[in-house]
Amino acid sequence: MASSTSGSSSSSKVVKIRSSDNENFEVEEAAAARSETIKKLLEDVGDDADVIPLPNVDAKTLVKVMEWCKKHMDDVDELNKEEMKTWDAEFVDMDQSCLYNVLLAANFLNIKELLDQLTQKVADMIKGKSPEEIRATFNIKNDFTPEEEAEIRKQNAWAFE
Amino acid sequence: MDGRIVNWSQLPPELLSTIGNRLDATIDVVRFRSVCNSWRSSNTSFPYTDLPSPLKFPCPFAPGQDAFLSENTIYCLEPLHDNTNPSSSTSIPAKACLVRVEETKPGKYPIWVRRVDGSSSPIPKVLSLLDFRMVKLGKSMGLNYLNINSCMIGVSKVIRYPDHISPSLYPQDCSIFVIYNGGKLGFAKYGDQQLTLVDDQVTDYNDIIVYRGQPCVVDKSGTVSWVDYSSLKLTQFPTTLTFGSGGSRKHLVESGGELYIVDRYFHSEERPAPYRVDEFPRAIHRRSIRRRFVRINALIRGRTIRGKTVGFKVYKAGQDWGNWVEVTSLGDEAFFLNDDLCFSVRASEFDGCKGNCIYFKAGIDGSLFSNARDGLVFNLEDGSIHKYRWPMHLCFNNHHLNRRLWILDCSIDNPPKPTVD
Repeated sequence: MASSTSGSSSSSKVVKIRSSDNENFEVEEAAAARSETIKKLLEDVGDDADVIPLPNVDAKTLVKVMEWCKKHMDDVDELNKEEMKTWDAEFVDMDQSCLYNVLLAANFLNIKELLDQLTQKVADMIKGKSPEEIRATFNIKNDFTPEEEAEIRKQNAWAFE
Repeated sequence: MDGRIVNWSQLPPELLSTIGNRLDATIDVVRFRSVCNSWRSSNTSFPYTDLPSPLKFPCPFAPGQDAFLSENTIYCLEPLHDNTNPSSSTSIPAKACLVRVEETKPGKYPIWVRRVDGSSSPIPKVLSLLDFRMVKLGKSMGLNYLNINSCMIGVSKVIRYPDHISPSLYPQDCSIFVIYNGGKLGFAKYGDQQLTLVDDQVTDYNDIIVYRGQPCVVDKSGTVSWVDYSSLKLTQFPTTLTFGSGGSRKHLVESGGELYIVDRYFHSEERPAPYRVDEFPRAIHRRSIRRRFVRINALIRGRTIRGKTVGFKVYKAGQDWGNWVEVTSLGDEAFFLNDDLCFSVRASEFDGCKGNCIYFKAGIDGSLFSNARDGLVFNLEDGSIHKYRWPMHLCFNNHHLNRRLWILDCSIDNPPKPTVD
């Protein structure tokens, strides 16, 4: 899908954004403006904006991020808070390569609330695990020198009194 | 998976640092820093120094006097699968066990360490936490007078709010909620001169925990309320427990993200049963001294004097807190009720621990790592109560962190076999 028109209301303003792999998307302005980066760009270019290029975000990731922005477009009332929490929990439950890309995109696009949710998700994936298990979860190589390794062993060692 | 290779060690430092700061247990931060170079260097401010340790709050009983908050994190320590190799130097513990890590720096007061004598299994000289999974079960806190390594008498429960640690958390952001004097709920911010009474109507609060990031309190009748931190207003759950007579002490337990009320039933001891005629006068005398001792101790610890625990009922919060549903089986879960912290574990991972049971201490000192080793276990299946002998706790020290760790390992001590009462 090369482009998608979001939002059922015809009166809402639509902005065009372009991913790093040159796919164009049409998104409601209210949704796109959840990103401080896009909001600022829109303010700078004014109404003459044609397409806003986002050179750091590929199409697949952008779809995901905009899905979140659309959901969080309006202020949530008390009644829907629980429902929103469940939606958010399901949203961040993605495979780790996808999570990585969305995390970087949220950072670049400066969407604070999404960034909070994603970093919390990563922290929750770390909690309780041993360093070796963390490395396995995130495909990280142990790049410590033998000396550093020894230092780390020391810091994780508890001596019987 | 789309096959794109991502490199988590290449995350921008500011993101790594944000993630690291969201870890609220010291052990997790140490382990985060043990993964790779970039993760390690993103979190250089560790160990955090901004929180003076221990934090100072007003004493609930004497305005102008100080009380010091001691904090511990309780973990479930689980050996990794490849750790069962008998030749491994850290083959102990072989099964999961409970661990307490002190979050506050040890004070100047002397500590008494219980050494293990005549144990059949060797105790490792060094415990390497790299070989274990460590799942946080909760935090236990206590108020102390300076230089006295024991909890303040008259305080039955204390929590810090917010309850996490992080480099961005300053002392002035911290508060405590205290249940004291048998059931009053008090609040104090760091720097306050005296405790504020949160609710002057209810004086029989039984338990308070931080649940889903918000303080949550229960009174003797089973009414559960959220406490709003900024206004100190209480919002009651829509429903209270509805049952016939009900037990007389409520505990709050979080298990698998759900909230439970454990209702404790006591045998009424208001009128002591007449002594049996075959008892010698001496035995009667001894018993009355003991009873008086128990009563005095209970009084100074701020507890209502109660009889023997005869049973429990467990209730789980229904959807949207609309109702409380009685739970007839906990499955493989075992609940641990302590004065300072209640939690639940998967029993099958532990040596000598039974699922669908509630472990508790009936004596004066009801904290998990107290020196009182005699406990009791209630079985939900048949309602029976058996004695349970807790293993000795062992103390380990980490000089780098300047922290102590206590371990309750059933495989080190003589295996505690529940005996019929």
